[in-house]
Amino acid sequence: MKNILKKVTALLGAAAMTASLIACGGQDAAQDSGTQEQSAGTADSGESQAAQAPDDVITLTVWNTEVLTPGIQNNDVARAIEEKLGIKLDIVQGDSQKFSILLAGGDLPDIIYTNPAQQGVEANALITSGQLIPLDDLIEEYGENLKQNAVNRLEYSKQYLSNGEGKTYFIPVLEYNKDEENPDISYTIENVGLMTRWDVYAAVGYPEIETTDDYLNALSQMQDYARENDLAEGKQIYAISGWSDWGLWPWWLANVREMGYTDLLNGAIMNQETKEVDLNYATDVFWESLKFYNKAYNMGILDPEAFTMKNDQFWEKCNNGQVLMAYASWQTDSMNKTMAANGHPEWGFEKIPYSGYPYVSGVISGDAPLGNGADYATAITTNCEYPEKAMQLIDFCNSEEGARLIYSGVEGVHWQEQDGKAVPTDSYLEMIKTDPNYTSNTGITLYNKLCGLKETQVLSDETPANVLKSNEQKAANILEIDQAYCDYYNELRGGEYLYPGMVLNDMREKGEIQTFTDYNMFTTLVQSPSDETLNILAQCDQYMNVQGVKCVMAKDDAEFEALREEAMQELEAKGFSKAREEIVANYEAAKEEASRFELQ
Amino acid sequence: MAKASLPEKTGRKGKYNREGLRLLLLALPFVLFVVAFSYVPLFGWIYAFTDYRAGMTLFDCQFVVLKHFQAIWENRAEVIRVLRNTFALSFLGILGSPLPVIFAILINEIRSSKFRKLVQTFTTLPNFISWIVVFTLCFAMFSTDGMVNGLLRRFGMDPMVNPLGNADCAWIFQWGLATWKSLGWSAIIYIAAIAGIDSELYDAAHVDGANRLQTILNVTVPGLYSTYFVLLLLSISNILSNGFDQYFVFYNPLTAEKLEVLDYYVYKIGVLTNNYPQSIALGMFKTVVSVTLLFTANRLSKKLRGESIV
Repeated sequence: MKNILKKVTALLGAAAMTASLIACGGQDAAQDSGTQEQSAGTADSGESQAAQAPDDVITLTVWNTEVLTPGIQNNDVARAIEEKLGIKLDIVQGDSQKFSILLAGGDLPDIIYTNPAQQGVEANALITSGQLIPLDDLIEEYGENLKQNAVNRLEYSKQYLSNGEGKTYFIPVLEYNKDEENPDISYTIENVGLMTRWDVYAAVGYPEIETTDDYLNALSQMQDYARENDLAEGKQIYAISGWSDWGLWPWWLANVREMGYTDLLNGAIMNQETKEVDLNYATDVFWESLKFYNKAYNMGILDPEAFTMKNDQFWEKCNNGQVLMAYASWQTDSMNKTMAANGHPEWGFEKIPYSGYPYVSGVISGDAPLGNGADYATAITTNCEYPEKAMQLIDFCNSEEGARLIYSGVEGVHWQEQDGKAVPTDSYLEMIKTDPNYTSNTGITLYNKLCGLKETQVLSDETPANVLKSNEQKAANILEIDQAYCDYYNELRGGEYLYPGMVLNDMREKGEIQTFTDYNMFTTLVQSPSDETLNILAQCDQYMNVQGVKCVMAKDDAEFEALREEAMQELEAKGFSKAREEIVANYEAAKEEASRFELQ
Repeated sequence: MAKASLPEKTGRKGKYNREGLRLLLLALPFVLFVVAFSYVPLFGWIYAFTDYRAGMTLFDCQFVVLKHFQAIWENRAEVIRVLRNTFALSFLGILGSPLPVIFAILINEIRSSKFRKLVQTFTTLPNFISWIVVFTLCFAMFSTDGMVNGLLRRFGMDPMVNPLGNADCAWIFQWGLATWKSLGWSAIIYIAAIAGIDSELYDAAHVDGANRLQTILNVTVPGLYSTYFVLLLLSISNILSNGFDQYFVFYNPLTAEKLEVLDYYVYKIGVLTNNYPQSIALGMFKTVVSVTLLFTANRLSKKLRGESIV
């Protein structure tokens, strides 16, 4: 009896394992997503399902690289979307590797965005994979706001993001049309630029800066002061730090922009004055940027751990007061608030206008009638069981109502109407002062990559989509460190600057600094390079990620030059010239195209 | 005679079949497992001969013959550097392979069973810590504000000791970490092998007046030979597989020259540069070399020791 029992148990065990193994192989993307609340179907059958059950709440998986709380979204903004549209957002978060693997496996989420620079997959490659659905019919039926607000973007998409098919696969996002008479002046700078710890700069007596060497010397003085005065509570302080998991990003991008170059796709950069485009590794400005950090390294003001740390460790060091220079306003806006919330409102990063470079990027918002072009353009995949609902969501995000919700939160909770204009509520203002993570916890600005408009776009109530971005609100919600910055320049220049951006804008208007204001449509119209070129560039980037750091750590000028020479030879061996030729030719062709493309 | 033996033969066969069927059914899941995860993926090798890019189907791909193998050959300077790192780290691993044996013997010699179990548990635990946690621990220890540099600063010494960013000691450091992580775990099989040694041999050695060291050298060590050599042969066949996780988390521009091993390189070519066909070609190369090494080592072992595993 016992033997029979043993045999039966063993056989059952074996059968169960076999069954599980077979079942393993049969698991597909639909099961993986696991969050769909309704039963499966194909993209084709979605229409009938949506038509049959319009009131049911469905879940859409949405690709996003920046939302750090993936999964079903449960915050004020997501709940408002659910109430309005009956759609739950399920964010699939990941990096370029994850995106590429999802694409290769046919497992893309319902809604994705393309970002060739970040994800390494061109818009056309996504179309040829057969995993995107053409949106024309859906727009016709469900895209009232798109038809009204995205005329240029849709036309651009048809012509340039359709792999020559003339269909709409992508909806470009983040359109901005500036008000010539009343330009949006950024709170500090917009996006990338070298930002310096203002309190420490003040403490060393505002040393005069005219060249980049002066700037490095000032940073050196600041480092000495910060260490002597133990500003980071016993922790080691370096003037400059960085991180290793974004390749060479910290070691060239901000510097190149401040030398008057705009970074484009595939490692290309454009000279703002001449509009000439070239690959970064072939330009002197790229190597001057590396040289800047090489000098810093040899002066002992560059944190040696910058080459081994990850990005979040850099943020932690900045928030702890261990770093005196950062690289972008989206870093320092958050860091300044975090430092203030951590009991150091007197600490903060600001833009020193004369940091040895002539350009300050993003002093005022520039036109973007085609939005971000191929970057972040939204698409619906064939995995989506509810393409109609997905289009309703995209259309809502391209409406003024959607933009206001995405950037300012829920009416009555985070903002309210006052004298015909939208203003933030007192409780919202209070919360963002005390909790630096309040906006992201409530979902405000979290889904900006879905939005058709930029947060600074003025809506029909004459208020920006983000109510905190009006000039009045910027002035009213100024941080202590920003006030100190304005006070210094008010006294120095006799101005009446209400927030840091006004200082920089005044300098721009008086021609003391330069900024990027031109709209260069051709950079958006450029065609994707060939697969071979993309492969060469990817290999070159991987090589330079290591070689560039070697250059930064070179002991002297001779070693730096030798490493630069070695790099150029190795890049050449990888086919860099061939890739460069194609990229430059593509941009030249795009300039021709731009003269033919008419904005409506 | 033949007729007389037939029923007996049939009877044996029937019995054999019933037992064989039972065993076969028990083995079936594992056979299926091997087929599903080791043989079916071999179909993917076909992509090494195409211009596949993420998202395409096999039917969309153009057949490019040996283009990707040629590209590997053209990139041979880089591949040779990667192979150098791979071999160096594997050889360090093989050089350290007697350590679990020694450790197992030492553990076996501990008289207090409680202390023995404690040591064994503590040394086995690191095997279950993921490499990203090990990296975080190392960063916490060796960063400028970490424990090691903090201590050095306290004693007035140069505080910049950072093996995470030092290419000169990268191999040794990684080998040390791998050894620390796997020592206790690897010793388990030897502890089991020691337990399997006939206790009469120990009694005989004791009667012959052997001391503890002599007993170890003349009874325990010879008893572990066959286990050690089987594992050695397997590690030789795995010489091109250093693992991926460890080098993925510890890879940075400063140590890239020394830590870019074949597994990481395959990932870099495939996932970071989106060149899947070339990474598959590299994988094929790795498989062929590993199989060749296994059979070579097996034949050598057969000739030298009269024992083999295949």
